Amino acid sequence: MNPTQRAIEHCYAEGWTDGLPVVPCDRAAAEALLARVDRDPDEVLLEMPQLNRAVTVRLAAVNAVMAGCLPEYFPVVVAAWDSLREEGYPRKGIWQSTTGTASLLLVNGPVRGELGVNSQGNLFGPGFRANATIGRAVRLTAMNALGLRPHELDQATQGTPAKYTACIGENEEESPWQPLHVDHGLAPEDSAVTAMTMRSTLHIEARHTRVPEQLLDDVAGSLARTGALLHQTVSACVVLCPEHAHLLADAGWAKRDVSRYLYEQSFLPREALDRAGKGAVSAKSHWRVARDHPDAVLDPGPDPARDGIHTMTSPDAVLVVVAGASNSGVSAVVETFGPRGNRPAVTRVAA
Amino acid sequence: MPAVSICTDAFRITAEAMARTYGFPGFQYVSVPHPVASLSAEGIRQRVEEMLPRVLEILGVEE
Repeated sequence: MNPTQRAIEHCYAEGWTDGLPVVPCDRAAAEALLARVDRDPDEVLLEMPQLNRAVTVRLAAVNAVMAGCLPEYFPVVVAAWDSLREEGYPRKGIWQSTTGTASLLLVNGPVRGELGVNSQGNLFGPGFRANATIGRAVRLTAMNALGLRPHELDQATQGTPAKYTACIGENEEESPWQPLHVDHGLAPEDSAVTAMTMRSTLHIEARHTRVPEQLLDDVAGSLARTGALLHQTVSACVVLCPEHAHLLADAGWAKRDVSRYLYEQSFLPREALDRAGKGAVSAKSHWRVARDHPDAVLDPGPDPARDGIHTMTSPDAVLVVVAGASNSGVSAVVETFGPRGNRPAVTRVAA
Repeated sequence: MPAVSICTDAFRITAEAMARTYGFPGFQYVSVPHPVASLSAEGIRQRVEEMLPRVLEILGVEE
């Protein structure tokens, strides 16, 4: 073996990888990343008291090097940790849960162009160093700094391929609407990261229609599915391709109209819930259970005229962003644990 | 208040990793057969009856 291979194999032997090779990190490599941010290397970015462990800026830098990040990516990585802390689910232990979530990082602003963050074709796929390594940096840190390794403290029953990396840019240039970070009070010239706790990514194949309601009902079919329901209701990030976004905007729809309509159409009648044994909610755990469960309580939907529920918690629980190529009518529903009506964790990247 | 941790056997590796994390390797807890989430009330009652002697043993209760 040559010295490079020996170093890579050493990292494998120490258990420092996600299964793919990592870039061996020395002090100088970590210092090059730390020099890009105005943060104390010992500052805690995310604390997990239940594990007696914490992610510091230094540990985040070491793992970002190992993930393959260039030094100039590090301000985005730090913003991702700030966003993950604000979003709240990782600190509550979701990364240890059997559900097996990943962290979706949405990048907005000029930093996309500066670093080459892909917001267009093959958005969720491979081929772009910034997307691949910024997302991977979070997972490697979780494994190495927090000890969240599978079959140990990461108890995911199946997990998701997004656990390797899940980092996308918003396609602001081809969106008819203002970008997410501007919706939430930042300037267009600011850059931002928004972290979301995600489960599945579902494809929406909709190349067939120019009718806004048909398109959105097609999307809503993937929102209103019983398999997504563990608790009473859920939330989603709907990633519209530019073609779909323009179809809607040309017909006069704003993003909030899309969210409201998708919420309304996320209705599941009680009999559909009953067929899946999820027609009620446990008064104790608030998990969905069958009506004949001893703790069962029927949860009335918000619409007294119809017996059933909206799978989406509220219109605000349907976050709409625009990304992907302008070449077809393919969008995505990303099933998320949040936001549940609160502000998404839009976090500015320090200049 | 004295307490006993209870988990299903599917979580033993995690339970032992958590005990090591806190500096208590060999921490005693009760493990019951997996699963419990889908059991009937009667099934739950049986699990409780089966585990009770072990819970009392860890608490140091003498018969």
